[in-house]
Amino acid sequence: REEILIPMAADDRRNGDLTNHNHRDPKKPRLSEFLTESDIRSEFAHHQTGVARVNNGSFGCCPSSVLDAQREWQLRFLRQPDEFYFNGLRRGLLASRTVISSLINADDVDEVSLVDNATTAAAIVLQRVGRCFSEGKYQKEDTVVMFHCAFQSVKKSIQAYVTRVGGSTVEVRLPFPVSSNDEIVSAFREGLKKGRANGRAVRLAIIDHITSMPCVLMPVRELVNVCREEGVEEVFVDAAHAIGSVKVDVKEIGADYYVSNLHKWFFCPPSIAFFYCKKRSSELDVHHPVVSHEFGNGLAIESAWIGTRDYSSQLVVPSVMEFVKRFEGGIDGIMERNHDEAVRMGLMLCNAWGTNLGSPPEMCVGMVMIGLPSKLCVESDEDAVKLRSYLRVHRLVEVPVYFLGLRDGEEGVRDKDSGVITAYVRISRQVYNETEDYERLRDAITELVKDQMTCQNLPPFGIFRCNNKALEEEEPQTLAKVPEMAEQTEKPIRLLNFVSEEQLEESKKERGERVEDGTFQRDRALYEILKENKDKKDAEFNERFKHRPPKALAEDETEFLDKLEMSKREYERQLADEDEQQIRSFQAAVAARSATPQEPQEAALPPPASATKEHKTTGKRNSATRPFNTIIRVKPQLKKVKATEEEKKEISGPPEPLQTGLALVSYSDESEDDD
Amino acid sequence: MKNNKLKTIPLSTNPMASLSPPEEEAAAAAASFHHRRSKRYSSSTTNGLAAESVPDKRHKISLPPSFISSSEIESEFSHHDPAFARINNGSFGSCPSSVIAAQRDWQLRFLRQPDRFFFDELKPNISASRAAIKRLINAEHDDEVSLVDNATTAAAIVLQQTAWAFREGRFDRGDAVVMLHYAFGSVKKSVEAYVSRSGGEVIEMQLPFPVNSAEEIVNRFRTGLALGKANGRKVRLALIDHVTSMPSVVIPIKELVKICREEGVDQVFVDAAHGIGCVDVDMKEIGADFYTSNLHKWFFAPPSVAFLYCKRSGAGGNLHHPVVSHEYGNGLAVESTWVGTRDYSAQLVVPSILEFVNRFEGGIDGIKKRNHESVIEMGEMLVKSWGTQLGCPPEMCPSMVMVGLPVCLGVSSETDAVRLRNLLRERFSIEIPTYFRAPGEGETDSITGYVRISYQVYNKPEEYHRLKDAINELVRDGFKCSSLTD
Repeated sequence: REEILIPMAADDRRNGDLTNHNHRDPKKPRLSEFLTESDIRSEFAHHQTGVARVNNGSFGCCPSSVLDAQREWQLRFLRQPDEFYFNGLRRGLLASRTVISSLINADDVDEVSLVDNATTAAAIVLQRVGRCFSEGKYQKEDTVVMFHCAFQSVKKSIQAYVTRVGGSTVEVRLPFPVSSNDEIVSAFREGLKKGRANGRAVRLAIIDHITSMPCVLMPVRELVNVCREEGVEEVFVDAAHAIGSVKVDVKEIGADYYVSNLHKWFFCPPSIAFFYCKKRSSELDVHHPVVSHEFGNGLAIESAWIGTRDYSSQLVVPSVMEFVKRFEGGIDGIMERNHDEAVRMGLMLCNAWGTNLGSPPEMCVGMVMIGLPSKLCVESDEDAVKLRSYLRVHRLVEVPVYFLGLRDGEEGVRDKDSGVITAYVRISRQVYNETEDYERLRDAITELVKDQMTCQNLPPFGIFRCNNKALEEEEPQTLAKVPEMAEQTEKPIRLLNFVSEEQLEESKKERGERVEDGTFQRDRALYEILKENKDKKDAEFNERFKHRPPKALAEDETEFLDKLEMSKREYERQLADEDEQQIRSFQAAVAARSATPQEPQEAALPPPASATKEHKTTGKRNSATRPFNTIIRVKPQLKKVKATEEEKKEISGPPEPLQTGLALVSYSDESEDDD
Repeated sequence: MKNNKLKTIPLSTNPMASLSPPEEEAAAAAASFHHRRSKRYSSSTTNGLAAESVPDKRHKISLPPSFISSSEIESEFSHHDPAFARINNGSFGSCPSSVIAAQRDWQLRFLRQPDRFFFDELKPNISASRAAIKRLINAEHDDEVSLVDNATTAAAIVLQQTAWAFREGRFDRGDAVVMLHYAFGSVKKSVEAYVSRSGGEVIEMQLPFPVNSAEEIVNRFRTGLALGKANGRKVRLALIDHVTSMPSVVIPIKELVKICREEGVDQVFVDAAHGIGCVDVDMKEIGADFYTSNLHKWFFAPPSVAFLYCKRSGAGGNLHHPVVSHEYGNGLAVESTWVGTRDYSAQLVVPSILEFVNRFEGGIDGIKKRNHESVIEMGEMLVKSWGTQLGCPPEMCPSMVMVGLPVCLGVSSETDAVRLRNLLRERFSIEIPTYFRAPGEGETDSITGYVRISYQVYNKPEEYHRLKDAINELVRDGFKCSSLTD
């Protein structure tokens, strides 16, 4: 329990600090060696500007100092590959593994292998299980038990490796929305029972540490214990989102296999995951599916060479440690603050929308599920995709939307309009996020509701795509928006009718006693306050939603497929051309930035130019944004109303080529600001 | 003036510019060496270059007004360690800085707004790469071409399919898989992991080395197949290298595939780790069921990307990527497009590579041809100086040649070979792989040590002369491999 006490101490310090601050800056460091806000901005300067990126959970992020380190490694290879292969690579990989192994409290560095991603690790585990079936070690019909909302790739891996050779699967329905760990544990016990019916053996249990969609922090240690009690042969924890998001102690969790991506919440570039195999397991026969001359030398060594390829992302872990050390409390501090902020923003949103959180704060991480107003009428997965695209394209908000289908006899949770909540957004909070990002999401949804828009009368996807350019064109516009928003945030009224800032801070002060149950519970006091305020809703949860199943998972990958199919080739090309030009100027900007070691403070402020622009356009925009239909439906109109004076002149000419030009203009503007 | 301009552009857009040698140095170096090919690219390395535009030569309109100059080549590969004679392109390949820059663009695009990149850009652009490769290798359909990390991955994909066939009873236990003795180590291990384990019998065919003619190999192969078919056994898979890696020999692949067809071999898998950019790769002519080639070895791709061709009419439908995603069951080409979040940038640069190779006379075919001619010339120069011989006749060499080492060096084990390689790297700054060939029974004073030299566009004759001199110096000093320790 030292592992848990240490961050606690850091916590207290931070909480003390927090009280001296106004509500907006929990991450602001006191000590000068910590990253300032402008440092952080410059570390993530390669992010598309103007987009509220509240979706770290899908693809993570990587700061530029780590990217630089990665390039160094890439160069070392390109410079003299043979030398690197013989003398640099293995040592570098071992260094990364060593860092991780102490971070996750593994007994031995040999327990830790580096692979591409959690998907690869799943293939490794399931391939092994498949072999046991086909070689007769397991009986046909023996089972694999998993949660219904396990990642799609994992399910497909089971299909490819396990059901193909006669194994069967039991899917446990994860209750959602969920109000306590017990709900999950008892659902899981049921599942195991089913798995063992008719004298079958449960050969493998797959447990998510943090489910992806819907997102819930699972009581993983309890679940592993249950598996042990019930005689499950092996336990594989798929913790794609874990490291950097929750405290990971593999010994405490006690699973046989544990995998976590490092490119999601641990600031690594794509892609790297660690795969932990309890040492005992290394005597079992676990192999990397891509076989090289290292076959048979243990998974860690096998994974360290799977043919010539780019291993650079696996070599930067020490550099990532350098990066996180520049934050108060290191990765633990980041984790804490991400959680706290995500919950705070989640409460702000569900307060504004009159909805609920998908799980209580202590079952959230840096990601939180928030119910969407029922008036949006999200009635299918397609609607959810549509809404998400709308938010991306027209509102410049990147956030995944989850559709929760009602099963027979279920009534669902109702929002303030007494409609059933059928959809949730998953917000993420990472160091680069700002309150404005969430406010933009809040306002977008609020405005949709106000304008009586529903998923049914949102324009179809195809039109979105044609309007995708809006992303670039609107950038000056969004910049102009910033001051307006900053004003708003200064008013502390947002949370008043739910839980006030004072209450929050107080609760944080009180927080401290941590129930050491593997789930790393947080915000006890905060939760209690929440609970008081939500008594009625909680009662509803307990009664009606204990056995509510989540809809079949439609994660990012699935959407990715769907959307691409809908896409038109020609448009892609257009898009590519535009981007190419943008990237060039963007790169130039990055190069210019790296030439200037210290980011000037002014960069933080919106450029004076755009401030004047704002002046010119405010009136227009306000009148324009209200009648929503005009904006979304007809592209030229959108541009007319939104364009600044100069832009307007240009736009009146032939539209297509000029738009590209505009995008470029807006970028070079920014790069100048940065200098 | 133009020369300078051309030179500075790649440097300035190159994020690694800081590591490239100062411009004057590069220019001086460009002027100082006498590149035997320089005449093909330019009349001189001075500013007079611009005059040597080649409007009369046949090339597409998209090409730059003149072919790449030798100084431009230098700058494209300026990230290479200048201290080293890197005459080992065969091991890890090379990637010009313009392609690296293109790759960085892709990486940045992802980092900039990952969701949008994955939703809108990844798949169509991987398709564009696949389509480009399809044309290059003369495949019938785009979906015959999948992009994977490397030939090792491709082998795992094909062999996993074989393993399934054994496990599910489509092949009988004891049915044979034949492969060449000189198959790549990883592939052998893959066969062990997937095929032997599932009950397949593996038969390795010994090949002669040094080789005198393609017939030798064809004959051995026939013998091997006959062995595989002994006792009514079926040969389910023949695994043939297109260019063996060590020792390096071009295998008469078309003949061997034909023989396999005649002899009723179920499937033929050609492992051409060194294929594209190194030898002629025409799927219809070769006629194999599966064919894989790395693009990062001889096709200027960054690490790592390889294509796996699966004949449509063959067993391609049963192939699956071992890393399973939601795309499972949508065909290998689509499955390979998404194997979890990772960096796909290397797979996206194929169009940029084509741009690069088209700056050379004759494009990739011209490069291939000149590399082959140059490496033969260098190999012959070396054997003449060392009094040894080449490992195979020139027509069986790709852009790599096995060159016999003087017998007096006493290479008498694989360890000796490795130590000699290390010595050449450490003392002489030469990067070159060495090979130990065990003498046959009754052979005395035969050549036991070989080096494999490669030739790629960035190589210069001096580098081979440095190797020549280094070995001659060792010989003169009475050096023996037995004196080396680790």
